[in-house]
Amino acid sequence: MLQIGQWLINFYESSVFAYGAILLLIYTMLAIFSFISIRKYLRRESCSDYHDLLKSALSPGISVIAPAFNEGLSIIMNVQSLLTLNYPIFEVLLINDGSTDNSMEQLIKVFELEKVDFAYNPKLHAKPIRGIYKSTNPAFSKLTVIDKINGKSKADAVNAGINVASFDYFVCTDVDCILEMDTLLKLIKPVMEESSRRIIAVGATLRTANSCDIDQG
Amino acid sequence: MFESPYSFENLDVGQNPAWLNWFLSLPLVIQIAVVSILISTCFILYIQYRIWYIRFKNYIYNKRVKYIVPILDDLITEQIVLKSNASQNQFGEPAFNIPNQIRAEFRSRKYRQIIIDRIIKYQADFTGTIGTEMRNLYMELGLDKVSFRKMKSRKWEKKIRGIRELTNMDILIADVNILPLTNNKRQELRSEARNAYIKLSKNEPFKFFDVTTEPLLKWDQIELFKTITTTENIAIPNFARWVTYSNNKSVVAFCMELIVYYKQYDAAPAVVKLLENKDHLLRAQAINCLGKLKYEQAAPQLVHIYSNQPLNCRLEILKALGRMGNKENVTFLKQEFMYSTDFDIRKNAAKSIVRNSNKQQIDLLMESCTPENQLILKHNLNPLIKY
Repeated sequence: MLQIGQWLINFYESSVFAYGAILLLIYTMLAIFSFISIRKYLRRESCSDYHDLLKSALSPGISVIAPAFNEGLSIIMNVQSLLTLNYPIFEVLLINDGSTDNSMEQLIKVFELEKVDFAYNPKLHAKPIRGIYKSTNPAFSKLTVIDKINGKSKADAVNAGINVASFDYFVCTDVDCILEMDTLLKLIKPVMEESSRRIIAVGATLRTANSCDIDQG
Repeated sequence: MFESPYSFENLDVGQNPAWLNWFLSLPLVIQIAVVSILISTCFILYIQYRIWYIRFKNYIYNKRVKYIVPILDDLITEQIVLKSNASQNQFGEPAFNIPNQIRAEFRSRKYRQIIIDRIIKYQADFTGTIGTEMRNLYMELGLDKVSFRKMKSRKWEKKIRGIRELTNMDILIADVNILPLTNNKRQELRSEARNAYIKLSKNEPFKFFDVTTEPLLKWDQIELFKTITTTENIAIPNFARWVTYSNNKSVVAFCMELIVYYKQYDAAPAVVKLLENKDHLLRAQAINCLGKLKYEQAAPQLVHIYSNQPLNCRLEILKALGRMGNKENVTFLKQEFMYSTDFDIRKNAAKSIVRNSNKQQIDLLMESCTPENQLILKHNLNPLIKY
């Protein structure tokens, strides 16, 4: 009985050790592969000039989809930040996902919005849209505000945005996310470099900005 | 028979150093753990060393920049910007009056990359005589040889750097050196070589279109487009030549973009022939090209092939008919707008109808269509909605 108990303890210890060792080995391998991959990426990027895209007539259009729910405190500043992105052809689709605060009123007032007859194809399921707004001020012509019934999920709001999007490529973000100015240039590049492989999605690094002072996004 | 003194049978624990005996006396799992800890510690130390090394390298670089850049800036201001005919002084003598000590510093290994980058920056900022003088200075300091050496390096990123420096300084590279690189397997190098070839080749800048077998990626096209459209005094050929004869689909597609940009109406018949191409993406682009050229002669053929086309080509046909501005096509567009079940077809047809109809005709159409189609028409009529 004592021997079986000892054997079980040894087996448990060995299993924990093996598990820990394998886990560490996998992390080490991942770190090495990431290191190699980052080095390759940096070498390749050192040869690229993203700003070629800025002036090119061949740049594809991008729709930036930003859902918002009760973001009244920061919504205006964040939309202004999205409108200043560095890219030649893009639109900002702001989805007011049934906010109960004064987000919509603020948007209408600041961006001089007007309800428009907007035809769209509801390819994806989403809660009904109450109205689509465009700005009468040419400075905000890139902005489209979609006012919809709350769908209780971000996916529902994004679906509504995709249905209204004018371009083949779209970026899913949040109104309270601050995008770096060249984000769209950097996100579209891998898609434009596709040859035999087809790239359907790209990601980006997210960092928390808690306790940071941010001026104009 | 020879026996290795290090075989396990001969391993005499007593002869080993004390630390090895201690290590061997440990259980196997602890031995593995000790080795892992040692490897990890070495790795962390190496990473820390690399971080310090990179910081130190940057510190040294910044120090060198702070020292040499003001000297170079003064020289350029005095001898080039304020005196724009410096190199035309006397034959046989150095064109620039650079003190020997400074000349040696400019050529020294530790400063020359900073000098090259700075001169390239000036070259990009100035055109005309000052630009030419920058080029002369670059050559007089022998920096072109440095760039050529980089171009012959085995490392592809160094080759790119060399090609870029020579291209920026407008230094001629022999076709025999640059043309093979336009087909290199490394995409970045291939792209750089193509750009350089277009920029530097005086006779046939588009010759590589004939020899290129690798596809032109969308990114390559953007870079090439920028180079072609911004290079001064470039001999623009008739791109119909490649639309007709090239076997490389990406070259054909890119040439159609250039045909549109340079409004080469003569190339339209060659583009029309692509409407019979089996590749629907190429066909769609050909239709788009004809629309943007407003080549009305192709309209009957576009209407004729419409029913046999996939959706992307149909949408391009509707857009093209709208761009061509031919009133005769409006009947066809109306028919598609009224009876098609596809939303995108109706939306594009409506857009083309709005472009080619007056208010009275639109009002008449509005009265006769369904509420959904009315919404589509209103969408297209609203000047606030761009797309």
